[in-house]
Amino acid sequence: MIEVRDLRVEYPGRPPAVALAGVSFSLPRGTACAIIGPSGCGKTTLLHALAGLVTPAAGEVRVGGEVVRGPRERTAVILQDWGLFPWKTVWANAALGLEIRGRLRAGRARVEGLLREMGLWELRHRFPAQLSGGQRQRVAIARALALEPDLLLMDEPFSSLDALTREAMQELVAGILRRGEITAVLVTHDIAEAAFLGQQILVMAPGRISWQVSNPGAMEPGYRATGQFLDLCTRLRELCRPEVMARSA
Amino acid sequence: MPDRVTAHEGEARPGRRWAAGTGVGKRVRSRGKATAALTLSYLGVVVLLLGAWWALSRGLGLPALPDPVASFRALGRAWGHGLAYHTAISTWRVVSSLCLAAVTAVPAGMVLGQARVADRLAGPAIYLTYPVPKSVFLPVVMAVLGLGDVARIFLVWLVVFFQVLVGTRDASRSLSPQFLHSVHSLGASARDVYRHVVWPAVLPAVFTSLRVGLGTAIAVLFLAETWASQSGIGYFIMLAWTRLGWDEVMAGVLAMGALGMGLYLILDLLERVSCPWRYV
Repeated sequence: MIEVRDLRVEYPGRPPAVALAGVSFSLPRGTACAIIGPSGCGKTTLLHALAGLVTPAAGEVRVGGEVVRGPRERTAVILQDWGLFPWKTVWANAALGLEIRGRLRAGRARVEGLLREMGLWELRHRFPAQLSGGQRQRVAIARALALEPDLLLMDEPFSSLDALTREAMQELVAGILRRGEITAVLVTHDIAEAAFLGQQILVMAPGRISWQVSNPGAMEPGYRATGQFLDLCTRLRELCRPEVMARSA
Repeated sequence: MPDRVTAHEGEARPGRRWAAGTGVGKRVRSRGKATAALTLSYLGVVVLLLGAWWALSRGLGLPALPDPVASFRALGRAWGHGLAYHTAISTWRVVSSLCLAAVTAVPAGMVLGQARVADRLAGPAIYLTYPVPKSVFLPVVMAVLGLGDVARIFLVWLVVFFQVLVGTRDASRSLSPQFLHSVHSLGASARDVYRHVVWPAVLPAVFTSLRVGLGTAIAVLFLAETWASQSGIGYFIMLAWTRLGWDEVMAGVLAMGALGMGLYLILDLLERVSCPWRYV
Protein backbone atom coordinates (compact mmCIF):
# COMPACT_ATOMS: atom_id res chain seq x y z
CA MET A 1 0.00 0.00 0.00
CA ILE A 2 2.78 2.41 0.96
CA GLU A 3 6.20 2.43 -0.64
CA VAL A 4 8.69 5.08 0.35
CA ARG A 5 12.01 5.08 -1.47
CA ASP A 6 15.06 7.25 -0.61
CA LEU A 7 12.79 10.03 0.56
CA ARG A 8 14.56 13.29 1.23
CA VAL A 9 12.73 16.35 2.52
CA GLU A 10 14.32 19.73 3.08
CA TYR A 11 12.88 22.90 4.52
CA PRO A 12 13.94 26.15 2.83
CA GLY A 13 16.77 28.11 4.38
CA ARG A 14 20.47 28.72 3.82
CA PRO A 15 21.59 26.02 3.98
CA PRO A 16 18.28 24.11 3.75
CA ALA A 17 17.34 22.16 6.88
CA VAL A 18 17.28 18.47 6.10
CA ALA A 19 14.23 16.92 7.79
CA LEU A 20 14.47 13.50 6.16
CA ALA A 21 17.62 12.14 4.57
CA GLY A 22 16.95 8.99 2.55
CA VAL A 23 14.02 7.22 4.23
CA SER A 24 12.81 3.94 2.74
CA PHE A 25 10.16 1.49 3.94
CA SER A 26 7.08 -0.25 2.69
CA LEU A 27 3.82 -1.25 4.27
CA PRO A 28 1.30 -3.83 3.07
CA ARG A 29 -2.39 -2.92 2.70
CA GLY A 30 -4.45 -3.04 5.89
CA THR A 31 -1.47 -2.74 8.23
CA ALA A 32 -1.30 -0.36 11.16
CA CYS A 33 2.10 1.23 11.51
CA ALA A 34 3.39 3.34 14.38
CA ILE A 35 6.31 5.76 14.06
CA ILE A 36 8.18 6.73 17.21
CA GLY A 37 11.33 8.69 17.85
CA PRO A 38 12.66 11.74 19.69
CA SER A 39 11.28 15.24 19.08
CA GLY A 40 12.47 16.81 15.86
CA CYS A 41 13.52 13.53 14.24
CA GLY A 42 11.20 14.08 11.26
CA LYS A 43 8.19 11.94 12.26
CA THR A 44 5.65 14.61 11.42
CA THR A 45 7.48 15.51 8.22
CA LEU A 46 7.33 11.88 7.13
CA LEU A 47 3.60 11.84 7.82
CA HIS A 48 3.11 15.09 5.91
CA ALA A 49 5.03 13.57 2.99
CA LEU A 50 2.70 10.55 3.04
CA ALA A 51 -0.25 12.96 3.09
CA GLY A 52 1.14 14.91 0.14
CA LEU A 53 1.44 18.08 2.21
CA VAL A 54 5.19 18.48 1.60
CA THR A 55 7.10 17.97 -1.63
CA PRO A 56 10.15 15.68 -1.46
CA ALA A 57 13.53 17.08 -2.49
CA ALA A 58 14.43 13.59 -3.73
CA GLY A 59 13.03 10.08 -3.72
CA GLU A 60 9.37 9.23 -3.91
CA VAL A 61 6.31 8.22 -1.95
CA ARG A 62 3.85 5.81 -3.53
CA VAL A 63 0.45 5.08 -2.08
CA GLY A 64 -1.66 2.39 -3.73
CA GLY A 65 0.93 2.20 -6.52
CA GLU A 66 0.68 5.88 -7.43
CA VAL A 67 3.25 8.57 -6.72
CA VAL A 68 1.92 11.07 -4.15
CA ARG A 69 2.03 14.63 -5.51
CA GLY A 70 -0.60 16.28 -3.33
CA PRO A 71 -3.51 15.40 -1.03
CA ARG A 72 -5.07 12.16 -2.22
CA GLU A 73 -8.80 11.51 -2.45
CA ARG A 74 -8.82 8.48 -0.13
CA THR A 75 -6.19 9.57 2.38
CA ALA A 76 -7.56 10.96 5.62
CA VAL A 77 -5.40 12.85 8.09
CA ILE A 78 -5.89 13.44 11.80
CA LEU A 79 -3.50 16.14 12.92
CA GLN A 80 -1.97 16.95 16.26
CA ASP A 81 -4.58 18.85 18.27
CA TRP A 82 -7.15 17.39 15.88
CA GLY A 83 -7.26 20.21 13.34
CA LEU A 84 -10.88 20.99 14.15
CA PHE A 85 -12.14 24.45 13.19
CA PRO A 86 -13.40 26.42 16.20
CA TRP A 87 -15.93 28.26 14.02
CA LYS A 88 -17.63 25.10 12.78
CA THR A 89 -20.08 22.97 14.71
CA VAL A 90 -19.48 19.28 15.35
CA TRP A 91 -21.63 18.45 12.32
CA ALA A 92 -19.90 20.98 10.03
CA ASN A 93 -16.46 19.82 11.16
CA ALA A 94 -17.30 16.16 10.58
CA ALA A 95 -18.85 16.88 7.18
CA LEU A 96 -16.15 19.30 5.98
CA GLY A 97 -14.04 16.75 4.09
CA LEU A 98 -17.07 15.54 2.14
CA GLU A 99 -18.22 19.12 1.53
CA ILE A 100 -14.82 20.10 0.12
CA ARG A 101 -14.81 17.03 -2.10
CA GLY A 102 -18.31 17.82 -3.29
CA ARG A 103 -19.73 14.57 -1.90
CA LEU A 104 -21.77 15.89 1.00
CA ARG A 105 -25.16 15.23 -0.58
CA ALA A 106 -24.36 11.55 -0.98
CA GLY A 107 -22.43 11.31 2.29
CA ARG A 108 -24.91 13.01 4.65
CA ALA A 109 -26.22 9.69 5.96
CA ARG A 110 -22.69 8.43 6.46
CA VAL A 111 -21.75 11.47 8.56
CA GLU A 112 -24.88 11.01 10.63
CA GLY A 113 -24.12 7.31 11.13
CA LEU A 114 -20.55 8.05 12.23
CA LEU A 115 -21.64 10.78 14.65
CA ARG A 116 -24.18 8.39 16.17
CA GLU A 117 -21.59 5.62 16.39
CA MET A 118 -19.16 7.97 18.15
CA GLY A 119 -21.85 9.21 20.56
CA LEU A 120 -21.69 12.72 19.09
CA TRP A 121 -25.11 13.01 17.48
CA GLU A 122 -26.66 14.84 20.42
CA LEU A 123 -23.72 17.27 20.37
CA ARG A 124 -23.83 18.01 16.64
CA HIS A 125 -24.81 21.68 17.07
CA ARG A 126 -22.02 22.40 19.53
CA PHE A 127 -18.75 24.12 18.78
CA PRO A 128 -15.39 22.48 19.59
CA ALA A 129 -14.90 24.86 22.53
CA GLN A 130 -17.93 23.25 24.15
CA LEU A 131 -16.53 19.70 23.95
CA SER A 132 -14.20 17.67 26.14
CA GLY A 133 -10.86 16.53 24.75
CA GLY A 134 -12.16 13.02 24.06
CA GLN A 135 -15.23 14.33 22.29
CA ARG A 136 -13.14 16.59 20.05
CA GLN A 137 -10.91 13.66 19.25
CA ARG A 138 -13.94 11.63 18.24
CA VAL A 139 -15.10 14.45 15.95
CA ALA A 140 -11.70 14.38 14.27
CA ILE A 141 -11.94 10.62 13.83
CA ALA A 142 -15.48 10.90 12.47
CA ARG A 143 -14.36 13.56 10.00
CA ALA A 144 -11.52 11.34 8.80
CA LEU A 145 -13.70 8.23 8.49
CA ALA A 146 -16.45 10.15 6.68
CA LEU A 147 -14.11 10.26 3.69
CA GLU A 148 -14.14 6.43 3.48
CA PRO A 149 -10.35 6.42 3.49
CA ASP A 150 -8.12 3.49 2.59
CA LEU A 151 -5.20 5.29 4.26
CA LEU A 152 -5.49 6.97 7.64
CA LEU A 153 -2.62 9.17 8.82
CA MET A 154 -2.53 10.29 12.45
CA ASP A 155 -0.11 12.78 13.99
CA GLU A 156 0.03 12.33 17.77
CA PRO A 157 -3.75 12.27 17.86
CA PHE A 158 -4.06 11.35 21.51
CA SER A 159 -1.21 13.37 23.03
CA SER A 160 -3.37 16.00 24.70
CA LEU A 161 -5.85 13.58 26.26
CA ASP A 162 -5.84 12.32 29.82
CA ALA A 163 -4.67 8.74 30.34
CA LEU A 164 -8.12 7.13 30.63
CA THR A 165 -9.58 8.94 27.61
CA ARG A 166 -6.42 8.16 25.66
CA GLU A 167 -6.81 4.43 26.28
CA ALA A 168 -10.49 4.57 25.36
CA MET A 169 -9.60 6.35 22.11
CA GLN A 170 -6.85 3.85 21.34
CA GLU A 171 -9.39 1.04 21.78
CA LEU A 172 -11.81 2.87 19.50
CA VAL A 173 -9.21 3.31 16.78
CA ALA A 174 -8.01 -0.30 17.25
CA GLY A 175 -11.60 -1.49 16.77
CA ILE A 176 -11.76 0.37 13.46
CA LEU A 177 -8.33 -0.71 12.23
CA ARG A 178 -8.77 -4.38 13.25
CA ARG A 179 -11.26 -4.73 10.39
CA GLY A 180 -8.21 -4.41 8.13
CA GLU A 181 -9.94 -2.18 5.55
CA ILE A 182 -7.76 0.79 6.33
CA THR A 183 -3.99 1.11 6.25
CA ALA A 184 -2.92 3.40 9.07
CA VAL A 185 0.18 5.33 10.02
CA LEU A 186 0.35 6.75 13.51
CA VAL A 187 3.03 9.17 14.67
CA THR A 188 3.44 9.13 18.44
CA HIS A 189 5.97 9.82 21.15
CA ASP A 190 4.19 7.41 23.49
CA ILE A 191 5.97 4.03 23.49
CA ALA A 192 3.01 2.12 24.95
CA GLU A 193 0.71 3.59 22.30
CA ALA A 194 3.08 2.55 19.52
CA ALA A 195 3.32 -0.94 21.01
CA PHE A 196 -0.45 -1.29 21.30
CA LEU A 197 -1.48 0.08 17.89
CA GLY A 198 1.51 -0.59 15.62
CA GLN A 199 1.65 -3.94 13.82
CA GLN A 200 4.80 -2.47 12.32
CA ILE A 201 6.79 -0.02 14.42
CA LEU A 202 9.29 2.33 12.83
CA VAL A 203 11.82 3.80 15.24
CA MET A 204 13.25 7.04 13.88
CA ALA A 205 16.58 8.69 14.56
CA PRO A 206 17.00 12.27 13.29
CA GLY A 207 16.26 12.23 9.57
CA ARG A 208 16.12 8.45 9.10
CA ILE A 209 14.54 5.20 10.22
CA SER A 210 16.84 3.37 12.61
CA TRP A 211 14.78 0.23 13.30
CA GLN A 212 11.68 -1.50 11.99
CA VAL A 213 9.99 -3.81 14.50
CA SER A 214 7.21 -6.32 13.76
CA ASN A 215 4.44 -6.58 16.32
CA PRO A 216 1.85 -9.16 15.23
CA GLY A 217 -0.09 -9.05 18.52
CA ALA A 218 -0.95 -5.36 18.15
CA MET A 219 -4.53 -4.20 18.77
CA GLU A 220 -5.65 -7.61 20.08
CA PRO A 221 -8.03 -7.31 23.03
CA GLY A 222 -6.10 -7.79 26.23
CA TYR A 223 -2.74 -7.28 24.54
CA ARG A 224 -1.74 -4.54 26.99
CA ALA A 225 -1.78 -7.04 29.87
CA THR A 226 0.57 -9.57 28.23
CA GLY A 227 4.24 -10.04 28.99
CA GLN A 228 4.92 -9.81 25.26
CA PHE A 229 3.57 -6.23 25.27
CA LEU A 230 5.68 -5.22 28.24
CA ASP A 231 8.80 -6.80 26.71
CA LEU A 232 8.17 -4.89 23.50
CA CYS A 233 7.82 -1.62 25.40
CA THR A 234 11.13 -2.26 27.15
CA ARG A 235 12.78 -3.05 23.84
CA LEU A 236 11.39 0.05 22.15
CA ARG A 237 12.54 2.18 25.04
CA GLU A 238 16.01 0.72 24.60
CA LEU A 239 15.96 1.40 20.84
CA CYS A 240 15.01 5.04 21.44
CA ARG A 241 18.10 5.73 23.55
CA PRO A 242 20.47 8.09 21.73
CA GLU A 243 23.50 5.80 21.99
CA VAL A 244 21.57 2.83 20.59
CA MET A 245 20.26 5.04 17.79
CA ALA A 246 23.78 6.15 16.97
CA ARG A 247 24.83 2.48 16.69
CA SER A 248 22.17 1.81 14.05
CA ALA A 249 23.67 4.37 11.65
CA MET B 1 -9.82 -4.75 26.52
CA PRO B 2 -13.09 -3.38 25.29
CA ASP B 3 -15.13 -4.29 28.38
CA ARG B 4 -12.78 -2.40 30.65
CA VAL B 5 -13.21 0.65 28.46
CA THR B 6 -16.99 0.26 28.52
CA ALA B 7 -16.80 0.22 32.28
CA HIS B 8 -14.83 3.48 32.26
CA GLU B 9 -17.35 5.10 29.99
CA GLY B 10 -20.23 3.78 32.08
CA GLU B 11 -18.78 5.40 35.17
CA ALA B 12 -17.71 8.58 33.53
CA ARG B 13 -20.80 9.42 31.54
CA PRO B 14 -23.44 10.05 34.20
CA GLY B 15 -20.94 12.23 36.01
CA ARG B 16 -20.19 14.16 32.88
CA ARG B 17 -23.87 14.57 32.08
CA TRP B 18 -24.55 15.79 35.59
CA ALA B 19 -21.67 18.23 35.35
CA ALA B 20 -22.84 19.44 31.94
CA GLY B 21 -26.38 19.83 33.22
CA THR B 22 -25.43 21.99 36.17
CA GLY B 23 -23.00 23.90 33.98
CA VAL B 24 -25.74 24.84 31.54
CA GLY B 25 -28.15 25.78 34.33
CA LYS B 26 -25.50 27.91 35.94
CA ARG B 27 -24.64 29.52 32.65
CA VAL B 28 -28.26 30.49 31.93
CA ARG B 29 -28.73 31.88 35.41
CA SER B 30 -25.41 33.72 35.42
CA ARG B 31 -26.08 35.02 31.90
CA GLY B 32 -29.36 36.55 33.11
CA LYS B 33 -27.57 38.03 36.09
CA ALA B 34 -24.75 39.35 33.92
CA THR B 35 -27.22 41.05 31.55
CA ALA B 36 -28.97 42.70 34.50
CA ALA B 37 -25.65 43.86 35.93
CA LEU B 38 -24.54 45.16 32.53
CA THR B 39 -27.80 47.10 32.05
CA LEU B 40 -27.44 48.58 35.51
CA SER B 41 -23.87 49.67 34.87
CA TYR B 42 -24.85 51.27 31.54
CA LEU B 43 -27.69 53.11 33.26
CA GLY B 44 -25.26 54.20 35.95
CA VAL B 45 -22.86 55.61 33.38
CA VAL B 46 -25.67 57.48 31.60
CA VAL B 47 -26.83 59.01 34.89
CA LEU B 48 -23.25 59.91 35.76
CA LEU B 49 -22.60 61.56 32.37
CA LEU B 50 -25.87 63.52 32.48
CA GLY B 51 -25.04 64.58 36.03
CA ALA B 52 -21.56 65.74 35.02
CA TRP B 53 -22.97 67.58 32.00
CA TRP B 54 -25.59 69.27 34.17
CA ALA B 55 -23.00 70.28 36.80
CA LEU B 56 -20.61 71.60 34.17
CA SER B 57 -23.33 73.56 32.43
CA ARG B 58 -24.50 75.05 35.74
CA GLY B 59 -20.94 75.72 36.89
CA LEU B 60 -19.86 77.46 33.69
CA GLY B 61 -23.14 79.29 33.24
CA LEU B 62 -22.30 79.90 29.57
CA PRO B 63 -24.98 79.91 26.85
CA ALA B 64 -22.65 77.70 24.73
CA LEU B 65 -23.25 74.77 27.07
CA PRO B 66 -26.97 74.43 27.80
CA ASP B 67 -27.97 71.84 30.41
CA PRO B 68 -29.28 68.38 29.46
CA VAL B 69 -32.93 69.29 29.93
CA ALA B 70 -32.76 72.21 27.51
CA SER B 71 -30.72 70.14 25.05
CA PHE B 72 -33.15 67.22 25.04
CA ARG B 73 -36.05 69.65 24.66
CA ALA B 74 -34.28 71.18 21.67
CA LEU B 75 -33.70 67.71 20.29
CA GLY B 76 -37.43 67.00 20.52
CA ARG B 77 -38.24 70.28 18.74
CA ALA B 78 -35.59 69.96 16.06
CA TRP B 79 -36.29 66.30 15.32
CA GLY B 80 -39.57 67.10 13.61
CA HIS B 81 -38.08 70.17 11.93
CA GLY B 82 -35.29 68.73 9.85
CA LEU B 83 -32.96 66.95 12.29
CA ALA B 84 -34.55 63.56 11.54
CA TYR B 85 -33.86 64.15 7.86
CA HIS B 86 -30.25 65.21 8.51
CA THR B 87 -29.71 62.21 10.76
CA ALA B 88 -31.04 59.90 8.05
CA ILE B 89 -28.66 61.47 5.52
CA SER B 90 -25.66 61.10 7.86
CA THR B 91 -26.65 57.51 8.65
CA TRP B 92 -26.81 56.68 4.97
CA ARG B 93 -23.36 58.20 4.40
CA VAL B 94 -21.68 56.39 7.30
CA VAL B 95 -23.36 53.06 6.64
CA SER B 96 -22.57 53.07 2.93
CA SER B 97 -18.94 54.06 3.64
CA LEU B 98 -18.59 51.26 6.20
CA CYS B 99 -20.20 48.70 3.88
CA LEU B 100 -17.99 49.80 0.99
CA ALA B 101 -14.94 49.62 3.23
CA ALA B 102 -15.85 46.11 4.38
CA VAL B 103 -16.56 44.88 0.86
CA THR B 104 -13.29 46.26 -0.53
CA ALA B 105 -10.87 45.93 2.39
CA VAL B 106 -11.80 42.47 3.71
CA PRO B 107 -11.06 40.47 0.53
CA ALA B 108 -7.90 42.50 -0.06
CA GLY B 109 -6.77 42.00 3.55
CA MET B 110 -7.43 38.25 3.45
CA VAL B 111 -5.35 37.86 0.28
CA LEU B 112 -2.53 40.11 1.51
CA GLY B 113 -2.30 38.06 4.72
CA GLN B 114 -2.10 34.78 2.84
CA ALA B 115 -0.17 35.61 -0.33
CA ARG B 116 3.35 36.67 0.60
CA VAL B 117 4.18 38.07 -2.82
CA ALA B 118 1.15 40.37 -2.82
CA ASP B 119 1.95 41.52 0.69
CA ARG B 120 5.56 42.24 -0.22
CA LEU B 121 4.36 44.41 -3.09
CA ALA B 122 1.54 46.18 -1.25
CA GLY B 123 3.12 46.25 2.22
CA PRO B 124 5.35 49.32 1.78
CA ALA B 125 2.50 51.26 0.11
CA ILE B 126 0.18 50.52 3.04
CA TYR B 127 2.89 51.28 5.57
CA LEU B 128 3.59 54.68 4.04
CA THR B 129 0.00 55.74 3.35
CA TYR B 130 -1.67 54.41 6.52
CA PRO B 131 -0.40 57.16 8.88
CA VAL B 132 -1.28 60.02 6.49
CA PRO B 133 -4.49 61.65 7.78
CA LYS B 134 -6.96 61.11 4.95
CA SER B 135 -9.28 63.95 5.98
CA VAL B 136 -6.76 66.52 4.70
CA PHE B 137 -7.70 65.40 1.20
CA LEU B 138 -11.19 66.87 1.62
CA PRO B 139 -10.60 69.81 -0.78
CA VAL B 140 -9.01 67.56 -3.41
CA VAL B 141 -11.72 64.92 -3.12
CA MET B 142 -14.44 67.56 -3.46
CA ALA B 143 -12.71 69.13 -6.43
CA VAL B 144 -12.52 65.79 -8.18
CA LEU B 145 -15.78 64.10 -7.14
CA GLY B 146 -17.99 67.17 -6.76
CA LEU B 147 -19.92 68.43 -3.78
CA GLY B 148 -22.45 65.63 -3.54
CA ASP B 149 -22.67 62.44 -1.48
CA VAL B 150 -20.05 60.63 -3.56
CA ALA B 151 -17.20 62.83 -2.35
CA ARG B 152 -18.23 62.58 1.32
CA ILE B 153 -18.75 58.83 1.19
CA PHE B 154 -15.44 58.42 -0.62
CA LEU B 155 -13.55 60.37 2.04
CA VAL B 156 -15.02 58.32 4.90
CA TRP B 157 -14.43 55.12 2.95
CA LEU B 158 -10.79 56.09 2.45
CA VAL B 159 -10.28 56.37 6.22
CA VAL B 160 -12.11 53.17 7.20
CA PHE B 161 -10.70 51.17 4.28
CA PHE B 162 -7.15 51.36 5.64
CA GLN B 163 -8.18 50.44 9.16
CA VAL B 164 -10.14 47.41 8.02
CA LEU B 165 -7.46 46.44 5.53
CA VAL B 166 -4.69 46.44 8.12
CA GLY B 167 -6.83 44.68 10.73
CA THR B 168 -7.92 41.97 8.30
CA ARG B 169 -4.47 41.48 6.84
CA ASP B 170 -2.87 41.04 10.27
CA ALA B 171 -5.54 38.52 11.32
CA SER B 172 -5.18 36.63 8.06
CA ARG B 173 -1.39 36.60 8.39
CA SER B 174 -1.43 35.30 11.95
CA LEU B 175 -3.71 32.38 11.10
CA SER B 176 -2.33 29.19 12.65
CA PRO B 177 -0.66 27.00 9.99
CA GLN B 178 -2.32 24.05 11.70
CA PHE B 179 -5.70 25.16 10.29
CA LEU B 180 -4.23 25.45 6.82
CA HIS B 181 -2.66 21.99 7.06
CA SER B 182 -5.92 20.60 8.31
CA VAL B 183 -7.97 22.01 5.43
CA HIS B 184 -5.31 21.20 2.83
CA SER B 185 -5.23 17.61 4.03
CA LEU B 186 -8.93 17.43 3.15
CA GLY B 187 -8.03 18.36 -0.42
CA ALA B 188 -9.14 21.99 -0.24
CA SER B 189 -8.78 24.33 -3.21
CA ALA B 190 -7.71 27.94 -2.70
CA ARG B 191 -11.38 28.92 -2.73
CA ASP B 192 -12.16 26.36 0.01
CA VAL B 193 -9.28 27.68 2.12
CA TYR B 194 -10.69 31.20 1.98
CA ARG B 195 -14.27 30.09 2.48
CA HIS B 196 -13.82 27.58 5.30
CA VAL B 197 -10.74 28.92 7.09
CA VAL B 198 -9.50 32.43 6.29
CA TRP B 199 -12.91 34.15 6.16
CA PRO B 200 -14.27 32.83 9.49
CA ALA B 201 -10.86 33.26 11.12
CA VAL B 202 -10.60 36.96 10.23
CA LEU B 203 -14.26 37.80 10.85
CA PRO B 204 -13.83 38.84 14.52
CA ALA B 205 -10.90 41.10 13.53
CA VAL B 206 -13.05 42.63 10.78
CA PHE B 207 -15.67 43.58 13.36
CA THR B 208 -13.05 44.98 15.69
CA SER B 209 -11.58 47.17 12.96
CA LEU B 210 -15.06 48.27 11.84
CA ARG B 211 -15.84 49.29 15.41
CA VAL B 212 -12.62 51.26 15.65
CA GLY B 213 -13.23 52.66 12.17
CA LEU B 214 -16.74 53.74 13.08
CA GLY B 215 -15.50 56.37 15.54
CA THR B 216 -13.09 57.83 12.99
CA ALA B 217 -15.72 57.59 10.27
CA ILE B 218 -18.17 59.77 12.19
CA ALA B 219 -15.46 62.32 12.99
CA VAL B 220 -14.45 62.54 9.34
CA LEU B 221 -18.08 62.68 8.26
CA PHE B 222 -18.65 65.65 10.56
CA LEU B 223 -15.79 67.45 8.88
CA ALA B 224 -17.02 66.52 5.41
CA GLU B 225 -20.55 67.70 6.22
CA THR B 226 -19.46 71.10 7.49
CA TRP B 227 -18.00 72.05 4.12
CA ALA B 228 -20.12 73.09 1.15
CA SER B 229 -22.96 71.03 2.45
CA GLN B 230 -26.73 71.36 2.62
CA SER B 231 -27.48 68.23 4.61
CA GLY B 232 -26.29 65.90 7.36
CA ILE B 233 -25.91 66.35 11.11
CA GLY B 234 -22.61 68.17 10.58
CA TYR B 235 -24.41 70.75 8.45
CA PHE B 236 -27.21 71.01 11.03
CA ILE B 237 -24.72 71.71 13.83
CA MET B 238 -22.82 74.31 11.82
CA LEU B 239 -26.06 76.02 10.85
CA ALA B 240 -27.24 76.10 14.48
CA TRP B 241 -23.85 77.51 15.48
CA THR B 242 -24.04 80.39 13.00
CA ARG B 243 -27.44 81.26 14.50
CA LEU B 244 -25.97 80.88 18.01
CA GLY B 245 -28.71 78.34 18.70
CA TRP B 246 -26.67 76.55 21.36
CA ASP B 247 -29.42 74.17 22.44
CA GLU B 248 -29.80 73.14 18.79
CA VAL B 249 -26.04 72.56 18.57
CA MET B 250 -26.37 70.19 21.53
CA ALA B 251 -29.38 68.55 19.86
CA GLY B 252 -27.13 67.84 16.86
CA VAL B 253 -24.41 66.51 19.15
CA LEU B 254 -26.96 64.19 20.77
CA ALA B 255 -28.11 62.99 17.33
CA MET B 256 -24.51 62.35 16.29
CA GLY B 257 -23.87 60.46 19.53
CA ALA B 258 -27.01 58.38 19.06
CA LEU B 259 -25.96 57.57 15.49
CA GLY B 260 -22.55 56.36 16.66
CA MET B 261 -23.98 54.34 19.52
CA GLY B 262 -26.71 52.81 17.36
CA LEU B 263 -24.22 51.68 14.73
CA TYR B 264 -21.91 50.38 17.44
CA LEU B 265 -24.73 48.27 18.84
CA ILE B 266 -25.63 47.00 15.37
CA LEU B 267 -22.01 45.96 14.76
CA ASP B 268 -22.05 44.14 18.09
CA LEU B 269 -25.24 42.37 17.16
CA LEU B 270 -23.92 41.43 13.71
CA GLU B 271 -20.79 39.99 15.31
CA ARG B 272 -22.88 37.91 17.70
CA VAL B 273 -24.94 36.54 14.83
CA SER B 274 -22.06 35.86 12.46
CA CYS B 275 -19.47 34.59 14.99
CA PRO B 276 -21.60 32.37 17.26
CA TRP B 277 -18.58 30.28 18.29
CA ARG B 278 -17.14 33.28 20.12
CA TYR B 279 -20.12 33.46 22.43
CA VAL B 280 -20.46 29.89 23.69
